[in-house]
Amino acid sequence: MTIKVGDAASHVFTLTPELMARFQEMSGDDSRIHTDDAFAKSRGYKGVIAYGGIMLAQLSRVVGTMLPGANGMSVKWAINYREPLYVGETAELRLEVAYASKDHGLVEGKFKITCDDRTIATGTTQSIVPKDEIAD
Amino acid sequence: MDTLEQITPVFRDLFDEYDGPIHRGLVAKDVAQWDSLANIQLAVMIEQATGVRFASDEFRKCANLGEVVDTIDRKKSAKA
Repeated sequence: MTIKVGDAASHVFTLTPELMARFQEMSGDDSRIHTDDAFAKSRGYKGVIAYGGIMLAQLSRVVGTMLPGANGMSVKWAINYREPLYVGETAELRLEVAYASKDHGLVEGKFKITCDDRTIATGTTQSIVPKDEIAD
Repeated sequence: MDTLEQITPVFRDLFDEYDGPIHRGLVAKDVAQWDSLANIQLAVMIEQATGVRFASDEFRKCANLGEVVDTIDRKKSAKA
């Protein structure tokens, strides 16, 4: 099956305390908004908020395994964080192909991360893809 | 707005470390980030900004930014 505009993939993930701890350890980012519940509440949030990098990790999973998949190579990602995602919440990342060029072997995607009726983040991706995997 | 003005924001977005002038005579060797991979991105981003599609060879063969602009203008005229 070849990739065409409108193709979509989605992935559901839950922001667990373990995921937050693993990302904190991996990144070395121990900023209080991600680690200190009382501090986060003092800033008007319900608790600590997700690391943006965790959402990018979910994007990596979708791009690398679903759309465009194993033969693609990312050349650009852009993300806008809209609302916080809290520990214990489950979110869905949906990526849709917005532009595909068989001539150039490049696919652009638009993605949105949502949790219930909240938009957590939106953004775009660009991937180099073998031309024979892109529809005419 | 002429075509060079139309594609200037695309150029600035992609080549975000280049702060020199954008003009018709600009070539890849003038811009450190403008390599073969970026050339593919540039082609697609210009397609989206202008609505004009390029064949891969057609874009690659443009000698400078002015030839890119001329190709876009020629294709726009042909469609009109």
